[in-house]
Amino acid sequence: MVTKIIPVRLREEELKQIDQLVEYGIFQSRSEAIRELIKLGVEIAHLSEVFRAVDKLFELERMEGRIPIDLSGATQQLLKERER
Amino acid sequence: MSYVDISIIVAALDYLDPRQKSALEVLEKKGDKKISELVLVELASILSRKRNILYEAFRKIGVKEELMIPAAILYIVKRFRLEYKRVYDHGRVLPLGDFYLPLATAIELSSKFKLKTLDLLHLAYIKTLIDQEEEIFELITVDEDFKKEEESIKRELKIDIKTLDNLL
Repeated sequence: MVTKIIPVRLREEELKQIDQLVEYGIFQSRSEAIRELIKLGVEIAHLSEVFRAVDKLFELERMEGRIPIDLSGATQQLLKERER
Repeated sequence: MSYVDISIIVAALDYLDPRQKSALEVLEKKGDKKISELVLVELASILSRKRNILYEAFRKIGVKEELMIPAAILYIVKRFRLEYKRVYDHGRVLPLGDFYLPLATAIELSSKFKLKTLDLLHLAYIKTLIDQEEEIFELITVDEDFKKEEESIKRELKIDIKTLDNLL
């Protein structure tokens, strides 16, 4: 995978925490630690969006009085596929 | 403690299927319902092909299209209180070598059941989970093919096959 070098400005305290993670062997280097923590942040943000969407689906079910996921026709399709 | 086949979940959400209400009732009433990653994969595949219908519901709640499938899966798991059970190990199939355990188990079970690939794989997941000390006493499904092998499944895996007729 192609990577690019970018300058990052960090506070003293943040850098200290990064160095601790490297010192404890959780990451091999400052660079790896920062990269992995960014990935984790993106994943957490994505997960929060998914959780919010699930809450909204429950809210929609309460409002409409019916499960909002409609798989009409899928049972026959599924059983037919299993015939293959 | 039941292993839930994807067919009953789909039937509960299939408003054109005559079994919809019964399937929904079973899923809502039954306690301790376990699923495997295979159930989740089958569900994802079905949801992806019902994208157009799903889009309508997600448009109403203002959720991005790329979140539809993961959110729908999570909603269904939560809505029916399904318990996802993970399988970790690998197994050896002689003379072929190392396989992911449910696949190795499916090869082993193929000499005992005459089932299509996905049905066989579900039984392999059940056996693998039982071997991991999960308590599973029955398979709940609307797929009648399992019924054809009911006796041998009961003998080999010590589980009952329950279709909607047995459950209501």
